Amino acid sequence: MVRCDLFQSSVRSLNRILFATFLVAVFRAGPALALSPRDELLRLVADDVGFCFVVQDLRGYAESFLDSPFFDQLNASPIGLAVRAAPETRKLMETAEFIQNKLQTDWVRLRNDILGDAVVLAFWPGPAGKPDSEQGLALIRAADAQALATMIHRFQDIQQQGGATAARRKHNAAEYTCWGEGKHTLCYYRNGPILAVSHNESALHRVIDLDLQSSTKEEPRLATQMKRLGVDKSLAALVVNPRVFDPEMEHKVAQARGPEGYVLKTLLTYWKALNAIAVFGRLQKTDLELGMVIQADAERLPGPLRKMFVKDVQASDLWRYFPDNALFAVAGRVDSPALAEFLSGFIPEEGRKVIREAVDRAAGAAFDKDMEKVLPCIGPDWGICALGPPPGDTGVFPQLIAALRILPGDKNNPVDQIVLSALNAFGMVAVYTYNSGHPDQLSFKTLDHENVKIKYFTNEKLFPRGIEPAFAWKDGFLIVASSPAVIQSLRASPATADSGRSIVEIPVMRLSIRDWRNYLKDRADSLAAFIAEKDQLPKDEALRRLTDFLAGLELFDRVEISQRSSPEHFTMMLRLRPAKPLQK
Amino acid sequence: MNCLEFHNLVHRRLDGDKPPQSADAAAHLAQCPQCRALQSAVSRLENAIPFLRPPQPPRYLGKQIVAKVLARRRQMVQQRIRRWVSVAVAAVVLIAAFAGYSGVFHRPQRVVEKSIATHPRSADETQSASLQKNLDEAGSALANLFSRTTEGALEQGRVLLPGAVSLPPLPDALAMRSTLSPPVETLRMAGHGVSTGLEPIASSARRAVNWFLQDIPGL
Repeated sequence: MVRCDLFQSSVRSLNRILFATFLVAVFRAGPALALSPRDELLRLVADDVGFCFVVQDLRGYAESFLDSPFFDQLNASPIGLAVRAAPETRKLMETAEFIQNKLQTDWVRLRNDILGDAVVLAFWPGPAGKPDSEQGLALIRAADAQALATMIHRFQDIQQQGGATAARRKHNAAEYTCWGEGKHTLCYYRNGPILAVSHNESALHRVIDLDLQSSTKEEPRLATQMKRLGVDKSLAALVVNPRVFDPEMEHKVAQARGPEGYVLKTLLTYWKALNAIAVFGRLQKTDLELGMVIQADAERLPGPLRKMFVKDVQASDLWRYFPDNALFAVAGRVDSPALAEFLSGFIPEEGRKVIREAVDRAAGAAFDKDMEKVLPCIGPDWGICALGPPPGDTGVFPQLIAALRILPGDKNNPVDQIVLSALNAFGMVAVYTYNSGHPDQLSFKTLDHENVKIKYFTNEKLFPRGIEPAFAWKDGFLIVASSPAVIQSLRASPATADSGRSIVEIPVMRLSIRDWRNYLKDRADSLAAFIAEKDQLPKDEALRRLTDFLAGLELFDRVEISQRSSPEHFTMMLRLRPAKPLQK
Repeated sequence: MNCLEFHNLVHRRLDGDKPPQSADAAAHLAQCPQCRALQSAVSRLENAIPFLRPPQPPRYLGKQIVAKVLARRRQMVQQRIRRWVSVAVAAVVLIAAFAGYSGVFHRPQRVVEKSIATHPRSADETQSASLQKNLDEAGSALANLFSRTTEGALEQGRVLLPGAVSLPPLPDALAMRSTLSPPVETLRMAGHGVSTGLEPIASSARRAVNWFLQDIPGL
């Protein structure tokens, strides 16, 4: 009985040990199993790469895009019809058929089975003064290793039929194949589903070395960098390694003299603070995103740039004034002293003196103040906005608003009053200049609205109907608009929790294509009359052109540019929102 | 001779002809006070012209020409940038369409199952070259398609650009320009320095793009 218990206990212990060993094995093998097709390729790219372009999951993106409502709409749209009917499209189809006949595979199989998982294009620039020593490399991770092998075999046949001869070569016991000689050499190395191709044999040797030596368990350095840049989930991303260009930039700085040397030295300081740059494209369900990320070492970033892009980054307060249905709006915050300091860094002392003198002569004289006292009060908020004419308005043109925050300054230096007086004087001189040279008269009027004095110009001959350029001081902003009515109707929406503090994503520009469509449809008749007069066309022709333009706008709803800032990253992103989703 | 004939004679004289003195003209002058006055005015004018100062170019003509040339160059650069930006945007949309172009052109046929073994091998020795040629032609067809689609879309949008919206006149814009041109020149020089500094990166990027676009199809 005791022996039996002992036996059972031993078996249990053995089981535990085996299970633990299994767990350890699985745990240790885990990363290897989890290495994505993209990372399998990035493992083969040496760290000193200059440019690395990565495309991943083309199969998945292409299939979901082809099934999307947007694709159906694009197919049926006039643009889709025009693209299908174009002679270039016929040429593309002929090429597709040609490839199908020669390589005996079609585009869909090529896309899904060969290119569908991951493709990496890597480029190593030549050293300083030797641009021809550059190296390029293409890497493919096929979903179907057999399909890849068959395609290579077929390609070899074509090369042989063309008179080229292949040479089997070895590097560290790994075999690869080369065609041609000298500059026309083309080498490839295949290991299962992975194919590496290059015109440069030494680039292929490095791939082979990395394939044999580098760990298949650890995440490649480039993949980690992509993750840190936030581009690891992108359909396509181009990563630039700034360090590769350091020697050449240092060489340029050493050679340059005078003002150019000064500029290059400053540029090198900024450049050395950069860790990586990436450009990416993402296909989301509702948006196509194109962006650029700059990863910098905040500690090494010179003060002005750190102040502008890292510290105290907020959305402009003007977004509360610009309605969501604005045809176009752009707004931001610029720290004027920091911007001036940043620009000064690129200009030698003599140049700075020239600028200071010009600014004092132009703006300083107008404001009767030292610009160094005025500058800190200008900004940081600025913005421009275009709105469709309000309902019931018979005007043709959109309403325009430009706004700039101007801080009031102090008792001895009331910057707001100084700026307004300068603008008033400017307005009066403009009226005098115009009226002394023209038979018609330009008037400069004042309107009081809710304790806001709005100054505006009127002249029916000079300005189109509905346009009466106006300016005013309202809510701490200097506002210039296309008419006094626009300034009267400008209201801030209530502050949200996000207003006034740092948020994740900050809007910079918004273009509402949907609202442009509505505006153009509502005013089609008046706009056609305007176009007909402007371009000396029959009104029907003008209307037809307008309708064609509207058809092109049906595909998209919105374009946005936004920015994200963190101590290490600065991201600018362009987001294109189609009228229909990009995925089902 | 009547007044009209005499006026013609005067105009010929002013145009540089030397019409002969005629007895008819002298007789007409003797009896017509208006033509006598005209004759006298023309004589005074002819005597005064040699003493006139030769016309001087306006004070700012040189600067105006330089400004116009620079503005034209800027406009061309902006046009080029606009064209490249629009080509890039169109390229993204069209690449997306091209990625699934079999769907665009013959949609339900997603996967064409063809047995490799059933295709007889061609003995054509120029296959390799013609494959390259076909790919090159396809590349330029794609580029043409991008630029034509973009140009078409831009052309349609151009109809809406207002051609005659006036702004309030700027007081002495030329004087302002002369005040601003030295700092603008300083900034331009700084900009030139920055682009010189970034030239190695731009040049490498161009070489990389060429490598990707030209050499990859040949692989």
